[in-house]
Amino acid sequence: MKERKKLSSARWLVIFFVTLVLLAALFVPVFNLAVDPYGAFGDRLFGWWSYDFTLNPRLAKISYLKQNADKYDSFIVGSSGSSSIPVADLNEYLGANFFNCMFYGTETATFEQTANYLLTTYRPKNLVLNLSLMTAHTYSVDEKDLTNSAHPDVSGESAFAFYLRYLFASPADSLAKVKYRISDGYLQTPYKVFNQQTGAYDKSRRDAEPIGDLGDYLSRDAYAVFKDYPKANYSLYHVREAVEAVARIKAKAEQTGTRLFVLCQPTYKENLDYFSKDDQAAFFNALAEVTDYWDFTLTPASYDPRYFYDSTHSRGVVGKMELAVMFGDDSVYRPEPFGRYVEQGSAPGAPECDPLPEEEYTATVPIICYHQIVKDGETNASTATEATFESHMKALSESGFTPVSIYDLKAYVENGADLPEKPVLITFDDGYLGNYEIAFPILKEYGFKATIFAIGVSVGKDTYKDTGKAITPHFTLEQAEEMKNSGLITVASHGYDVHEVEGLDAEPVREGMLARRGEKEADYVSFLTADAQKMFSLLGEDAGFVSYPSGKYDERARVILREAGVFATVTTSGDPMNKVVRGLPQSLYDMGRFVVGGDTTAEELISGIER
Amino acid sequence: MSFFTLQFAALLAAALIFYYALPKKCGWVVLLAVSLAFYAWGGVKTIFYLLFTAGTTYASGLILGRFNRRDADEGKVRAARKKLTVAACVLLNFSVLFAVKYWDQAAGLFSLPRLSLVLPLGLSFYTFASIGYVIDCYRGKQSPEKNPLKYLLFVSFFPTVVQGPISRFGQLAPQFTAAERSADNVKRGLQTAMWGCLKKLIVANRAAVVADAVFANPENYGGAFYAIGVLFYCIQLYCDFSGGIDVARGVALTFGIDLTENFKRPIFAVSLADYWRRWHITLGTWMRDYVFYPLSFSRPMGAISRFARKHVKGKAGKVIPTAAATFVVYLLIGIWHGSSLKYIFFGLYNGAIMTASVLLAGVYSSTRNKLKINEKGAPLHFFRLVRTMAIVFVGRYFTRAPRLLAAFAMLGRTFTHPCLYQLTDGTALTFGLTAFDFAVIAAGVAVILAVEFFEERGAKILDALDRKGALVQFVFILIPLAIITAQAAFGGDAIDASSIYRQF
Repeated sequence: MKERKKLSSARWLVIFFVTLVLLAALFVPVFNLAVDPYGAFGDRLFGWWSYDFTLNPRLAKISYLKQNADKYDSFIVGSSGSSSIPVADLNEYLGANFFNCMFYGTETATFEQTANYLLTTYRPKNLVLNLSLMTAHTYSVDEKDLTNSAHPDVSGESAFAFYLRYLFASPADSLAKVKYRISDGYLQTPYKVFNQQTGAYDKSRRDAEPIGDLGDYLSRDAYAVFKDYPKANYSLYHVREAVEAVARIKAKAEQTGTRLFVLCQPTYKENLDYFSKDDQAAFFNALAEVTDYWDFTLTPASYDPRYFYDSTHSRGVVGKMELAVMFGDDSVYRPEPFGRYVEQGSAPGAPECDPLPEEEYTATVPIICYHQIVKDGETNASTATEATFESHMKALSESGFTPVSIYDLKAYVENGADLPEKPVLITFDDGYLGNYEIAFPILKEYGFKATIFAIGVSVGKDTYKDTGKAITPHFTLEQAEEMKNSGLITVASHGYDVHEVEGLDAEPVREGMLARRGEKEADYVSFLTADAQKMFSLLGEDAGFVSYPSGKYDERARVILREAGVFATVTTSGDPMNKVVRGLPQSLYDMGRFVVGGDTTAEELISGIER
Repeated sequence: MSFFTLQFAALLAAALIFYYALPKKCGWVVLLAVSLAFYAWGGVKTIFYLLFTAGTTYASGLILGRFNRRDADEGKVRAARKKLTVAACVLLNFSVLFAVKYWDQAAGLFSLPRLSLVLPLGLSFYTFASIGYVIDCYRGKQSPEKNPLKYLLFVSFFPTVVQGPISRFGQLAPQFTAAERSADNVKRGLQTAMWGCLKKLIVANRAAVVADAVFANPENYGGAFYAIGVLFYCIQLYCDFSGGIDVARGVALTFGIDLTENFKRPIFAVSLADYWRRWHITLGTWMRDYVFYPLSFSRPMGAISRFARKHVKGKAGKVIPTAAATFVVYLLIGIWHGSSLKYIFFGLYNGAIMTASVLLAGVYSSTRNKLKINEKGAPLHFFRLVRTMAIVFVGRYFTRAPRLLAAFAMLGRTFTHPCLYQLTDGTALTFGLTAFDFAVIAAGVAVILAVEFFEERGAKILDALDRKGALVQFVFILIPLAIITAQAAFGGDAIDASSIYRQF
């Protein structure tokens, strides 16, 4: 006899089809709602806005502001070029809290919608409207795809249609976000290009990238575009509409009591050539009919690709110059004449500006690297005798070199201060007692500045940490203080405890400032950050200058150090003839050094740094 | 059209609605319409190949049927004419098969012009099925189908047309008009199809990534990874092929139609012959009925047989004709898989081992007696299982490697340069699968093995499930459906966040 079934096949089928329909109908929207890769629903689960901004900045930034309105009282509106306006500097100059609401694309119509929304919703203290000639080229694009749709509160689109589109988007996009979230690491990556706090691009990697010599810069793949800049001709079809939109924004800002700044962003010279002089003049004249504005379109910086990170976008350092000009901050270097202030009612015409000769804003600074100095006796690749050292100093003096400190270089790149005729940076690694006892008196004798990179854990020690094993003695903190007080010596950082030795330290040994094999990234980041902080508390601001231990580091180490406050670094190799560039603090990163050994003669030294 | 697409799901849903909504006598018309729609989806042009095969075999069937009737009526055997008819039909259809599937390869060897014809979907499957029908008509075992559309349905029946099972007319066609329509069948059909989907989507698609990666760039890997590549290929092949067959059988069953089994747990095969009785069963039986038997009883084979009995002493002499026919069958099976040399070698490899085991059967049995090995003991059974797996495993190098010589080289390096260090240095995670994916494959294989183990011991798992409570049954609906829906939903390409931001 057939057993009694608890569930008839007919019922089974009903359950099957109901389940199938429910799954098909609910799975996708529920998943999309939860993961929310575009930030359409407020990204409550992950709150990973740097990702959402990347997928659709127009939409996600508005969603983000809805939750974080209290943190901001001022906004930047514009295209991606607006990202180079440094929010921190702007906040300082205006005593405000800015959020950079910029997005991809240059449609003035969307700028207006966004500005309107921000003005009416938040009645901000300040609004920076950042324009470019392109904003009169593309006035509006009606885009409804997922990565370009604006928030319905901004665009006025039906909210129902909008949310339906994002609810039933391919769940593969949501899955991708989950996968990226799982594999996400410390460094900025192409799937999270925004800084959530400021709304600007996350430039943590870009700003830590060493930039010096122009030829070397152009040889990198990322900047190959400048070698053979693409040619094109763009017409400005929408000058009238764009300018009228600006006028409406201005009127709105007056209504809401918002201070409006209109800026025209820096443009690479060959990019500016896309537009005819007549078109340029028409745009700037038309804009002057409706508002005062700052025009930074063409400055001497427009001629040097090192101030640009791709064919159309200037670096944050250029934005810094803009703000310095606007707010009269003379401590910030900028190549003059840097931009113009155009008053409403004038007819400024197309911008004119000549390039600066490179030698006016770049300098070549060789760096010499010593380690231990001994009275006499045995020498090797890292130990030189007093006599040799003295002969070197004599030769430098006779060859007309003037030793400088890292602060001289810093003042050069940041403030535009001058450097002596033939600058040179004398450095010592490891912080040996010989530096204090032997080198320091000689340096004093010559009145030479020098930098000594001390290892935090070894200061004042003649045994290896925790082992009692004898090592070359190191000077003490008091001796360091004494040298510093002479006004000649900078005692800078060689890392606090990043000189591990095989056999003396636990396996696996850390190589220089790299991560240990198998070390978790989060542990590594906090270790290296803490290591840098220990040096800052030991040495003060001088710890912002770092010599990489054993020359072992990578991009991640560089970014971590920069975030920790390090402003200059040297390596143990590389071209010792460093090119430092005014306005480019990045030119102080990864500087090469001429490593001096015990048998380096004065002639070899001079020919090594005098090319 | 693939079974594993949303379009197929929609087509199936529409087909089921029409099939059960319309009167029973219209059922076969619905199936024909769906079959033609299904086939035409892949390319309208290639449907002419299918119509050609259907047309010629339909006509041959009618002619053979008439001859058979006259034979019976007039007592006069028209053997020559019948032979001519069947030979012409077989020749015609195999010529098409050869021209489309093998010509370009052969032409390459003899520097003849290539045809570059588009391979029609399921060509070898429906050709074999149709030829089987013609031969059955010739033998008088099958009375010919008079309705050309009903016959067309047999040739084009959508669950079987792409990858089999290779059906017999006598088994399949009567069901088109007399299928049992019951909720039980629909339920079993859906369950079977879901099981097939899971095998394919969860296990096969993942395992394929490993096999593809290893065989796409073998120079990057040591021999150990060749073996791993082949292992994953075996997993992929079984889960893909048997999963597809499960879907086919399941789908057919939702219409009340019972298709022939094509796989019977080949992992538990105790010999290569047993393996071929469990793997792609309908191809094996087709070969048996339409190649092996006719060949064994053919006149030339009779001559060989007499010659062998005369000149080879003992048992071997008796089995030589069987051995020869076996060899031919496996050679053909190899060629059936594809046109390149590696498939021919694959056929030779199987043929040689099968032939050797036929010839050496006596030696094996006397050795076992001498060693006093228990014929029914577990150790011998286990040894046979492992031996069969090893033989099949080695054979798979040849079907998966890009070329015959590459297969030999990879097989050699598996032993000479295993590069075992690659097993632990993270190489496995460079194929595009995460550790989670490997865990999914392992879990999937474990579940499949467990299910097949119990089935091999006679358990009826679905029947057992029927006796469970409603909640359990619901869980066994929800989980597979959720997995399948998720796979379907995620199947599309994501908008890659890394590619949105460019030059901004």
